[in-house]
Amino acid sequence: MNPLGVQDSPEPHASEYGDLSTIDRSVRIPVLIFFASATLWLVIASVFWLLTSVQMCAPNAWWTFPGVSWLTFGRSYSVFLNSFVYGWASSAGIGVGIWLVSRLCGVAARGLSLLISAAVLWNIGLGLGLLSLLAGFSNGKELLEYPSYVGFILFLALALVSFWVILTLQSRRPGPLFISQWYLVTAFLSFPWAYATANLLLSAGAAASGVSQAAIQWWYIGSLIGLWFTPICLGLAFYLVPKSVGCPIYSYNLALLGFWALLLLAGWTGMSHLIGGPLPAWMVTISIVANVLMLVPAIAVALNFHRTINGKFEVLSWDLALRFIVIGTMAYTFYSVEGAMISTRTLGRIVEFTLVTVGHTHLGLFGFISMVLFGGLYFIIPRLLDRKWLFTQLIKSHFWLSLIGFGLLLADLTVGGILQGFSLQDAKIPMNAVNDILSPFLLGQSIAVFLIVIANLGFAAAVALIFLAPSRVRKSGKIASETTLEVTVN
Amino acid sequence: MSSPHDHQVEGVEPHSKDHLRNFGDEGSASRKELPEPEVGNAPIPFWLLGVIGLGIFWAGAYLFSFSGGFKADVFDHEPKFGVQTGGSKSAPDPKVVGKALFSSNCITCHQATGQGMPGQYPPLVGSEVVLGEATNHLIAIVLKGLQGPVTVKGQTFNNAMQAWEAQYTDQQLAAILTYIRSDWGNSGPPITADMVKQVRDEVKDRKDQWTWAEIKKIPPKNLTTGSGGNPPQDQQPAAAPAPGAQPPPASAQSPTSGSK
Amino acid sequence: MNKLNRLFFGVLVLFGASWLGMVAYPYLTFAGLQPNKDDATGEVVPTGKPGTAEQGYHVYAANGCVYCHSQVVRDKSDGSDIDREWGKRRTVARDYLFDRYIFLGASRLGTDLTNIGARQTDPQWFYRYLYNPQAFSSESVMPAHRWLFRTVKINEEPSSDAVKLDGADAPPAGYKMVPTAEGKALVNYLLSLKKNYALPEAPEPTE
Repeated sequence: MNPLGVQDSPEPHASEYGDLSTIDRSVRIPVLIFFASATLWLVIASVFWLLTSVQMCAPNAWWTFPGVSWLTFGRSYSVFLNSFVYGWASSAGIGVGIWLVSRLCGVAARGLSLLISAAVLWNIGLGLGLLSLLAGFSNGKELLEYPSYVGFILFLALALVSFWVILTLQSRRPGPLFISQWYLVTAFLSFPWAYATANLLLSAGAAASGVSQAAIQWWYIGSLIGLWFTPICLGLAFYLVPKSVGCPIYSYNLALLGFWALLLLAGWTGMSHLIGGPLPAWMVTISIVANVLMLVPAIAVALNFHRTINGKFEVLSWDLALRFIVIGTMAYTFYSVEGAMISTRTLGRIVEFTLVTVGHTHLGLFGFISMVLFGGLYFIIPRLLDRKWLFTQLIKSHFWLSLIGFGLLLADLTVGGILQGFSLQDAKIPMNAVNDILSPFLLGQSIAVFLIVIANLGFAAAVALIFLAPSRVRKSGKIASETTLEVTVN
Repeated sequence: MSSPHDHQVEGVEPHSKDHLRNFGDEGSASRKELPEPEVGNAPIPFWLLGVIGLGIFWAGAYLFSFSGGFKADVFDHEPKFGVQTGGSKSAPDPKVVGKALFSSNCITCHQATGQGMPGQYPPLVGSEVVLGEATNHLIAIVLKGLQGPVTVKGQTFNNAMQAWEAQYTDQQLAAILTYIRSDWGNSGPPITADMVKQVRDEVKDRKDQWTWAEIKKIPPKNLTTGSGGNPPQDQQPAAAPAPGAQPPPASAQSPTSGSK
Repeated sequence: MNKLNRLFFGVLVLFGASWLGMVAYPYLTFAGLQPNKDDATGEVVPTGKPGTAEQGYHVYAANGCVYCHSQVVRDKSDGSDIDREWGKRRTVARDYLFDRYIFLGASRLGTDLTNIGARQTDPQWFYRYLYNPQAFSSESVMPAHRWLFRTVKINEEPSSDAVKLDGADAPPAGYKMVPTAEGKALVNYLLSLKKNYALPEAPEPTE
């Protein structure tokens, strides 16, 4: 047995070995553009996240820019949301998707001009979107704020990538479709469809009037989370988890169940945000049912991962990318459980309109999606650049600070939101008093966000360093592994 | 059922820390990766199938019970068939009701402490207008609003208070006024819905907000001792001159109040 | 599942089902709604908004008001909305019939605004609130929207547009504070927010 545990013959036993680096090199440029821009957008989103958090604590303090119209809370918050969702998470997700589709199809990528055009268009759209929101041209609908011309540009970019994905799948090497490929197909077919529908029907022109706007908006948000981000992140996890621990996925049948259940339910989940709202009762009820049944794919996926990695948990001690991914998928389970709970009428009517829903959204966007994407970027970037991460301590600090910061944020928003919810239910407590109850929690939010922002900046620094570092490997200092992020210990 | 680890790919050591001490810097890390993942074929556990079955059963029951027949104009998931449930039949304490109503709108200007804001909104605590004998003036102010300068407790306020007659019923206004006359150390006889109704009828032709000068021209009446209505609780009227006497000179000007 | 086509078909059918239920159905159903005509008075509700109020939609959207304010009144069984005087009855689909853009909102850091135009009828109140929310509500985290106002010299007499501000907020002598066109549009929009008419599908709850 080879003491290194890896094959040292030029042609390893599995024929795709040598091809992996060819494949990686073929998609390197567009994927790195998406990753680099994603990191930049993460920095922008983090700055605005911190700004909005402190604006909630001290709306009139000079250092929160009161009275500056383009930085007012209402605009900063839309910039934070959109930069985070479309700038960071979607860019990183598209990059991951492209890389994963290439690898799993086993062919060197062709039609790169499609992808590079998409990357450029995507960022142009995001940049125009950022300026529009700051200038006050917003649709005022959560996650659909970009004006319609920006939405059109972003949709074009998405369509180009999806087209490329389908082309690549058609020309893949023969063999069964791997689990991740099911998820990626779902993501790249559903999301452009959802995005186009929502933008056409909701922005300028407002083809849909009245409450149908609310229905379409929440359908879109449910699809964004459940059929865009969730499949990309689960697809990544289904590939990297078994690969990193050297064991196969526990059960094909469980994976099948989890996949089809997600596809069946996810589009229906959005409406439970409108309990008591002006939509027919059946729409809200069906949403509640869908949210509760989402426990099925969550359990299926959690069980599958747990039994895959069971007995191999020590890999987490040195494989830092895997750490992010495992924490992220655990967060997915929590997200689904919390989602099922707060979507019921009994609990939902209390926590509606409170910080609890904010915390839940952040659990999904940061705890699950961002953590998995961090893991993905930590795995993929060195392979595309043929370099190593320089200071693994930075990566470890990023991990722990993210975990602590986010844990604090979730606890703070959930507890504060529950208190807010009960206070709102009691008509004898005026709004002023409710806000009084909230103020320590808004302060806690600022502190937690500050920690997360520092962690994100650490990530950005690591990415900047690996991009800008010379290609020579440093012989001194700790060296990250090439197959995983293992660190040699003294 | 065999352990998933039996399917370990051959020829590859279980991962350990030792084997990565040397690697060159040539070539891609991908060449040294573990092989591509495979998928085992363990069956779905029975308990999970049971849970799913229960879930589908629950889902169906919930969906058909609470969907209002899938009609587009049914918004309550549990439509009420006639009798309203809940709510006690005994008359609630007007002070409690009044405080809740006060807290939704009036509090924005007059504040929860009833102190108002210096230079902007007059206080209600110890206010001559609130506690004075001319209860019809108090009611008229709340019904039609007030604008222009007015003095309360020696301080002048020059603001505008909107009319509240359209927003509140007689019962609700009576509750609010009863409340403000009984909290923060204030002590005045309660106002009843009949008193409010009486004043509402008297001033119904007026379109604009009052000015204080116009209020003073209204003959003051102490409706709590008049024939207007019986206070629900046994209270002595505040010591005051007989009905018909001039109201105290200082007056409160309430600015436009409202909820947040 | 070896066939890509089966996957495509699956996505089309299953995602398409949610598209049908959550997009096509509401779009078609609610587009056909008609306002309600009261048999006794002949009154038709809801009514559309005046022109300047329509412009106010964009100002409301631009400044992100929806991130803290909701525009939904829930039933008594779901919350204290009615007890808080945010409305006399729950809101239903027809209430939003003529709303070109709706902002139901998902957060109540601030009060609900469905009927703010019924609770506050004086534009001055809105101007002053937007200028300095903390003067009205000390714990409020609402930003002061000062860019919706500008200071101009007083010509001969103060104009009716002038916002009455006192104390530290007052403009310097010889000047008055007036709302910009955006400010006026926003306030007109807020003044138009009233849904306090009766609709048969949403009876007022009995006390």
